[in-house]
Amino acid sequence: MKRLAPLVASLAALALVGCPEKAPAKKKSGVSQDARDEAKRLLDEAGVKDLKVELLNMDTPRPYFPEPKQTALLLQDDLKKIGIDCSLATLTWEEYLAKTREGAFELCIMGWTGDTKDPDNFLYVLLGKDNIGQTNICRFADPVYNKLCLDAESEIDDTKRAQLYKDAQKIVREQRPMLPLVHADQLAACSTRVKNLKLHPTGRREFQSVTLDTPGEPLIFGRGSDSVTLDPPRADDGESVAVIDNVFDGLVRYSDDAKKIEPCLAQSWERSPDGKTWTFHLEKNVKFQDGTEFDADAVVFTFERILNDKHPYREPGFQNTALFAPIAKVEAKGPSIVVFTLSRPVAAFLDDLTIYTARIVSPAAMKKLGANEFATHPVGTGAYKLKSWEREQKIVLEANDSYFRGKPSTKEVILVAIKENATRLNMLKAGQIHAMDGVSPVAAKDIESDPKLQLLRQAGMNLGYLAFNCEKKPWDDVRVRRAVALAIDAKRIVATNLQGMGQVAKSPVPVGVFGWDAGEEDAPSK
Amino acid sequence: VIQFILRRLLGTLPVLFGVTFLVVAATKLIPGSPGSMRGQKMTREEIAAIDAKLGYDRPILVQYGSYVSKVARGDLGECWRPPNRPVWTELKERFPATIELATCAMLIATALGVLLGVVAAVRPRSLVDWTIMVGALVGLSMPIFWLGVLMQIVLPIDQRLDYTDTTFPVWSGFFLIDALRACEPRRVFEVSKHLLLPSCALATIPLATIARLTRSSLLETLQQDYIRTARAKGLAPRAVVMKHALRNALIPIVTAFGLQLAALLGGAVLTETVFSWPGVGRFIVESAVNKDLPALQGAVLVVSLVYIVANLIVDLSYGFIDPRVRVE
Repeated sequence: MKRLAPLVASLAALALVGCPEKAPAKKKSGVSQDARDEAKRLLDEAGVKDLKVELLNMDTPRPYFPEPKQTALLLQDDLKKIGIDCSLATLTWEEYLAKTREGAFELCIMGWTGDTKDPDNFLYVLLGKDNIGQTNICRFADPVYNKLCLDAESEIDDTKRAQLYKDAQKIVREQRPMLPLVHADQLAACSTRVKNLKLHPTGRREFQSVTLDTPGEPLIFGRGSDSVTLDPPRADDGESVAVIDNVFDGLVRYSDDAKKIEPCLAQSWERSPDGKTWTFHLEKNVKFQDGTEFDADAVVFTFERILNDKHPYREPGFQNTALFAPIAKVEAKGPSIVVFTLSRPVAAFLDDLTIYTARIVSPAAMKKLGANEFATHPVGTGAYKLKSWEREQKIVLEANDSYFRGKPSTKEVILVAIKENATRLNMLKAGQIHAMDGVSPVAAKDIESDPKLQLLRQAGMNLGYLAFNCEKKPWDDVRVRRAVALAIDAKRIVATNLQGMGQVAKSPVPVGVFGWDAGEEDAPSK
Repeated sequence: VIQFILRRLLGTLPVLFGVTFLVVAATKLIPGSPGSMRGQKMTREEIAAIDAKLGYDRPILVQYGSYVSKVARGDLGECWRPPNRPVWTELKERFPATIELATCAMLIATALGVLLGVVAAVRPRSLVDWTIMVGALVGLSMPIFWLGVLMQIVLPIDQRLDYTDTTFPVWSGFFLIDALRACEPRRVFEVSKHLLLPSCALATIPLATIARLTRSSLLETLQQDYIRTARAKGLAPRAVVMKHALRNALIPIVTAFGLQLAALLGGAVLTETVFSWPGVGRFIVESAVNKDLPALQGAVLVVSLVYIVANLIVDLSYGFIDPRVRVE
């Protein structure tokens, strides 16, 4: 009988509301009445009345939006206050990609996770005119902006380059093709038995120095889904990249704090004064996991595969190829020297080389297995080699004892795919797994209070934003876009959706990335 | 009878052509291509290359033609979405879960449905009858996904079966049978718990249908002369209803049972999705949103076949239940 009362109450509530959505929490608004009045005035000026709009949101959590539907509800609430009637539509991530690429939407929440610490990866990629139909879903076609980005890409002088990006970010603020909302923190958790598990600012995941308190025991890591492909250039999802990070190495890598770029398969390098020729001196006596020698030819093979879409070991679906388009030629000058010739200077060339797409693959293994077999039986120079892979279930990685950067501390790492967040957390608490990612901000609070667990938290290189389709009426009018921008309370999204584990985005570029600039509003007031 | 069966099976061919073609046509009508759904960081050229490799850029008829010729050779193809497993393997893995759910739902629906139908029929136009019939109407009209979500909220059991538990041996693919075989009471309990809500939700529509049909069919039978004879003989009312009337009233119930079971076997698309049940229904939904054409076509093809065969079995079973309708 005791249980019946809440039951009846919830039934009644359901009958009234009609759907089980939580109403957005009431908090002190971060948007002033003045801002709202100004927004209404802008809408009037643009001649927009009784605007009805559909806002798209995705059905699965993304790193930048752990609760996309709730975020959309908050935006809906903000827009209502300036008289915009906003309906929500939820799509799967795959449909989302297709629809937003084709511009079949008015407003949507979207996001981006940067792979390199360079503003080009956000400003040009997300808003450059050349990227319409690809990553520029806002369909922002400002020629001045596009030119600023291209100039900045080739500008070797850091001061000048920073100024170019500053100008570009100013255009974003004035033209408002998108409204940056949040930069969410990366969250993971592990048992206190695990040592040295760290989150890297760029999201890189390496197990080389992670240890368990009982040596010899395999480390079991739970994650939300399985890898899709282990062929570096074809990977896009975090779960594939996490394995690639351990099986393969790049020529260069970010230091652990991501503040500088350090040698990896390349010991040292020089840039020609015009910035167009890069010479890399490779590490000697490094072997691939199949026993074959790593040399300049392997580097040439890897890059030719990325650059040439007629390459015999090329399969459709290579990601990030645009990043390497400026490479005109890759040549081996002797067994341990590689020379890259660029068609134009690329300021962030070293940053680009750190990306998982450009990890060096074993040419011998690729030729023996073929590209598709290689994707499930990867061979690199990395700290771990793939021992077994049961699709949709688990990947077992075995330490590569002859790893050239030092023997890994843990013999075996098992990556288990456990779809449900709650199940994964329960397994962590029960000690069935030792670490996990895909921690929601709400679960993070729970983990923090558990003495047997530790929460790992690190600012993320990501951006969650509200995209306007600048080609559709009335969103082609900058006044309408600015009105919406004025009315939205990003602080509330950080406070409620991210539980404070993240920060309000003032620019498309995450804080701490080169050239970040939020404009005058953040200048110290007098 | 053989000839009858052959004729019926031949007649299903156009249906199979029809459904698979509809699937291609519908998929083509919706914007987006398989390539455009594969990752955020690809150039237009790469997207086009994927579509070309899958053959999605070809005209619809060419694409359909090559599919039909492949199926005619007994090959359902491979899923377009990674990890590109053969469609047949995927279906084989998911069918047991669907059969398990459908069987449980039909057991609940038949047992309760017939019982309620009989109770209503023996007291026509009474308060009991009226209540049961209104209840059945509600059950029939209630959207199943709504009921499913409601059940999950009101009965807070963690309904999702952790089928990623890889340590558990798969023998038959049926969760309950596997658990019983392993003699693990905890697992049996877990599985039953997970089965309960989805099968109850899924049972509502067949239950309502069966209850209503039982009632009307039984009411009609109860008016027959032989029932009056039986009563006049002085048989107990229970024997009259259960032995004489119910058996004769069974034909429409069997039909309904067969068709409902077939429909459920075709994958309870909504229920499986709401309850994350790893069956064919959810596979269909996943394939549709991924524009995974071979997977979708394969699933629809197999599901239609199941439906058609179940229909045929229902038709044939009449002969056994009621000698009057035996085919020459």
